[in-house]
Amino acid sequence: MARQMKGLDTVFKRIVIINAWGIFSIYTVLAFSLFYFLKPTISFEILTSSRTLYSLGLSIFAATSATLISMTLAVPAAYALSRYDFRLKSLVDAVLELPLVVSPAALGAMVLIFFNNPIGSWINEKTISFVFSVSGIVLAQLITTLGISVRLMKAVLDEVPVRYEYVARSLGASPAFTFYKVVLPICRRGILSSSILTWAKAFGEFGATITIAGSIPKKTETLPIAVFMRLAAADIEGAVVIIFISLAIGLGVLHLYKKLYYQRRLPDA
Amino acid sequence: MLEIENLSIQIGNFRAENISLTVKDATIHVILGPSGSGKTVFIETIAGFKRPEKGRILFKDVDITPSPPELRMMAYVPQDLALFPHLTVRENIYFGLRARGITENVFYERADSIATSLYIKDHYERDVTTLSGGEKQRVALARALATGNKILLLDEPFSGLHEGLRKEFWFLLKKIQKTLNLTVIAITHDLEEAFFLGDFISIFINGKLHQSSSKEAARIPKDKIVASFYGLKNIFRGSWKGDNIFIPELKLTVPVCSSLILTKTEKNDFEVGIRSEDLIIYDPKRPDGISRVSPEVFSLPTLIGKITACFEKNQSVIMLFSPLNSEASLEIEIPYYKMERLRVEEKKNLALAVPPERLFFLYKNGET
Repeated sequence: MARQMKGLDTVFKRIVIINAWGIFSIYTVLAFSLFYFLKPTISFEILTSSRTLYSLGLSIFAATSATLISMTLAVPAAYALSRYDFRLKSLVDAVLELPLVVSPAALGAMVLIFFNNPIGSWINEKTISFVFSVSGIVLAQLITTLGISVRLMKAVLDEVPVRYEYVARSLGASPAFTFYKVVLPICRRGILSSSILTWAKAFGEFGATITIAGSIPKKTETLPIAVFMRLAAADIEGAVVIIFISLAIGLGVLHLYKKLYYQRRLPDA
Repeated sequence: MLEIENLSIQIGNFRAENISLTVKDATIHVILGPSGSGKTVFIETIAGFKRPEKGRILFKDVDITPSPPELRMMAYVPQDLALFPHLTVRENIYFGLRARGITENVFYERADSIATSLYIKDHYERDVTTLSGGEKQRVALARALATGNKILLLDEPFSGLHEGLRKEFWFLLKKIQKTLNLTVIAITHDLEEAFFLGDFISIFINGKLHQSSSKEAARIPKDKIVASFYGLKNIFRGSWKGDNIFIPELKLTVPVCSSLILTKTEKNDFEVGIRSEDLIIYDPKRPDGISRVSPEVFSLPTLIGKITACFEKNQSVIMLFSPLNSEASLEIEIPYYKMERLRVEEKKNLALAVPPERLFFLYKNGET
C-alpha cells in the first residue's frame, strides 16, 4: 500500500513538473523564434538609432513617472482598504478591479471621451495637455496601473499585523506618525516590489497609450508602440530588436521583483 | 481607579454584553478565560483600539471612552510583543518618547534606567530580530514602561516562553509592578499564571464576565461554566437535611459551617462542589503514622473507599477515589511526596475526609 502511494505521488509530481516545463517551453520557443529574424549588422543600427533610443528613454521616463504617481496614490488608498471599514467600501474595492476586467484600449477610450466633454476639454486646454502628448502616455499608464498598485499594496499591508500600530498608538503616536514611522518602514520591501511590478506593467502598456497619446515617432512612440509601428510597416528585423530590448528590461525587472518578494516576509520580532 | 461600566462590544460575530469591572490602582487584575472567549477584544477596547457599542470606561472618574489610544496613557504589550523590526532596541524603547515629542533628557534617562533594571541596556544597538525570546520580552516591557504610563495592558505576553522563563517573568512582573506602583491588566488562559500574578481575577468566558473578585475568592467558582473551565470534577447534587447538606450520590452528610451559611441557598435542590486538592486522603489504619494527618481530620465527614486510578503530574498526583457502595467517583490531587507515604495499593481501603468549609455552592449561569 505504501509503495503504491509512493508510486502515485511520483506520478503526480512528474505530471505537474512536466506541466511547468511545458509552459516554460512555449515562451522559450517564442523567444528563440525571434533569432530567425535577428540580423546583427542591422540590429546594432536599429538599437543605436535616435528613434529607438528616444522610445527607450520615453518608455522609462513615462513608466517611472506613472509608477511614482500611482504608488503615491495607491499606498494611502490601500491602507484605507486594509485597515478601515467605510461606507461603500465594497464598491470602491470592486471599481479598483476595472483595469483587470476592461481592456486597456477601452480604458484609453474612456479617457479620450472624458477629454472631449466640457470639463475634460477645459483641463486639456487650460492645464496640462494630455491628448497626443507625453503627459497622455503617463496618464494612460497611470489609469491602467492604479488599480493593480492598490491591489498589490493592500496585499502588502494585510501582511503587516495591526498590533504594530496598536502598540505605537498606545505609546502616544498619532495615526499619521504611526503610518510614517511604523507602517511604511515595516513594509518598505513590499512597497518596492509593488513599485517594480507597477513599473513593469506601465512599461509594457500599449492599448491605452496608443488610444490617448497616439503613435507619433520621436514624440509619443514608446517601445510597445514602436514594435507595433515597425510590424505595421513590415519592418520585422526592427520589431525583433525592440522586442529584445523589452524582454531584457522586463526580465531584469522581474528578477529584481522576485528577489525582493522573497525577502519581504516580516522578520520574527 | 479604572472603572468599566456596562460595556457592550460587537466585533464581527463576537458579542460581549454589559461588562462591568473595577480595576483598583496599583494592583494586578487578571482577565482569565479560555482561548477565543473575547479577552483580547476586551483589552483592545479598554486600550481604545476598538470602539464599544455602549458603556463607559472611566479613569480616575473621567470618561475616556471616546479618547484615542494615544491619549489614554495605557501601555499595551500584545501576545507577539510587536517589537518594531526596523528599529534597534534603543529606538524601540525611545519610540514612545519620540512619538510624544519629548526632548528633555530626564525622560530618556528614566527610560535608560528601566532598560538597565531589565538587563537590556547592553543590547541597545542590537537589531531586535536577533534577540532571544526572553530579551524580546524585556525590550517589550521596557518600551511599554519608558513612557511613564501607569496602566499596563498585557495580552498573554508570556505565552510564547518556555515554562522556566515564563515563571522568571512572573516574578519580574510582580517586582516591577510593586516598584513602579503600576496598575496592570493582564489577560491569560493559564490558571496557574492567573493565580500567581493576580491580586484580582475576573473570569471571562464567551464574551461574558462570570465572576470578578479577589484572588482568594476566585478559587471558588460561582457557576458550572467557571467550574468546567477550572476543570473541577467533584460536583454533586445536594439537598438540605435539617441544617446539614446531604449528598445522595456519596451518601454523605456534611454539617453547614459559617463560610457556607454566607452563600446558603434557599432551594432544596442544588449542586455542591469541592476542589480536588481540598480533600484529605489518609490510611484509616495508620492515620497518625504514614499519612501524617492532623487529629482534627478524624472529626470531619469521611468516606471510605478505594483508589481506582492514579495519574502522575510533574509535582502532584491525581487520583480517582470510589467510595464503598457507591457508583460515584471523586478526583483527589495530592503532592507527589504524600503519594509515596500513602502507599496506595489495590483493594486497600482508604479514608477521604471532606472539610465542610471547603464546599462551595454552584449556581446556574446568571444566578447569584
